[in-house]
Amino acid sequence: MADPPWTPPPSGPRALAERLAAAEHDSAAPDAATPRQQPPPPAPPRGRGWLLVAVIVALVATVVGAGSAYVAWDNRNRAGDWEERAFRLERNTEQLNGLLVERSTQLNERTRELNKLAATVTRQQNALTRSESDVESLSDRQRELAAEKARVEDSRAALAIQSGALEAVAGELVDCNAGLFQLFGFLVNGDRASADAIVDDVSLDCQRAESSLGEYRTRYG
Amino acid sequence: MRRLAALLTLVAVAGLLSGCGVRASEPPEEEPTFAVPKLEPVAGDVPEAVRVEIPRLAKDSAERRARKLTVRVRNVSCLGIGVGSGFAIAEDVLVTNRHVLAGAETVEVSTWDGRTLPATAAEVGVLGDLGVARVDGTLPQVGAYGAQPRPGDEVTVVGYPGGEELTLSPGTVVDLVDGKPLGIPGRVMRLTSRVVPGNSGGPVLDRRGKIAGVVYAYQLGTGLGLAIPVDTLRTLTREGGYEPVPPCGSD
Repeated sequence: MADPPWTPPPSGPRALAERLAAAEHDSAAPDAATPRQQPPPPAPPRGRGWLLVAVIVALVATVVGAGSAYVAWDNRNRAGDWEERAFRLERNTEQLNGLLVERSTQLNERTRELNKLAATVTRQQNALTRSESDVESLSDRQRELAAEKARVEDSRAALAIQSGALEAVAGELVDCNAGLFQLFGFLVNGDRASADAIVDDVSLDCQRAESSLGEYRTRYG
Repeated sequence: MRRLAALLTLVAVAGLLSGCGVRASEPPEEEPTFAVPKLEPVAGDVPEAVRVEIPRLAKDSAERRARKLTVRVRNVSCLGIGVGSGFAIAEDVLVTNRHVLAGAETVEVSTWDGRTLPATAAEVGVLGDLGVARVDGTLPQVGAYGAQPRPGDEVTVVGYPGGEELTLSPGTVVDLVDGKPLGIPGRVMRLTSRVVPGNSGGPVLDRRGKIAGVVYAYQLGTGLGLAIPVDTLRTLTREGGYEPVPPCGSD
């Protein structure tokens, strides 16, 4: 259902007077549908409030006390644990310290030995270098001497060959010489027949000796 | 209801306050004491000793082995003295070239340390320019066969050029050519190493000092050294094919 169209309130002094009169009538004769105001409840007695506060304070104090007691008990346990842990750590520290001292001592000993060994190695290295140099020199010298010896042996072998050749030439010359002596003997004694008998052989021996001598001179100078 | 809530809040605050009111005791603050001895300083000799140089003897051991391995072979024949090189493949057996032993009436072997060992027996290869001799004594060093060399490999020719002192001549393998035109069965190795008369029969050593071949000649046109590679050497040594040393003037 649509609302009735709004009409502006009447204005003017008369309308104002009517509205004031209506307002007075409303206040003098209340409407029957409006509920009647109840009287306020009576205030509690003042002693019960203090009791409640006291209960609350006691309760709070109890809670705080209990909590504090628990925390104190817990802290004490924790402190005991900390102390035990500290003692244990200190014992471990002492053991580690002892071990560290022992190992440091061993390390120092090893270092001293290493230093000695290093000095020995250095000395031996120097000695080895000198020795090596000596060995190298001696080895070079040995090779030189070996080569010289080989060359001398070559010369000896060559001389042996030359000596053999010369010996052969000398033998042929000796044969030639002996034949010539024999030939001259026959001729001096007037044994012409004997001389004629050997002259060809003597001539052949001497030719062979001369040839061998020439060959020897050609080969050996 | 409001009063009950306020009461509970108050109790809770009181509980919290009671928990924070007392602090736990601190752990012991005493620090452990360490009486660590002062460590000895490392002497200056130690780093010096650590930097020990490799002794030259050890460093040059390959060279020393090469010197010990190679021997000087003297051929005393009716024509005079001939000198070549050789190397030991056993304590009393050496390998050299056929032409080093050819015509020998006497063969003598000189070692690096000045000993002279007479050869008690000698034979020469029928096909290749190889010869073997057995000596009366112990040779200083026995060689070990290496791998077949390849072109580009670094090698060293060891020998007594001209019968003079032992020399080591480094070089590389140029190639391996057919040996038939050069009178060698199998292949022939050509080297850049200097090869002169007297090197004949000497070993060609690889970088590890192992035997890579036997020198037997040099090429006139190119000047390259010629060597029998180790595979051919092993084959010829294993399969034999040797004959007595030809008499003087016949070869």
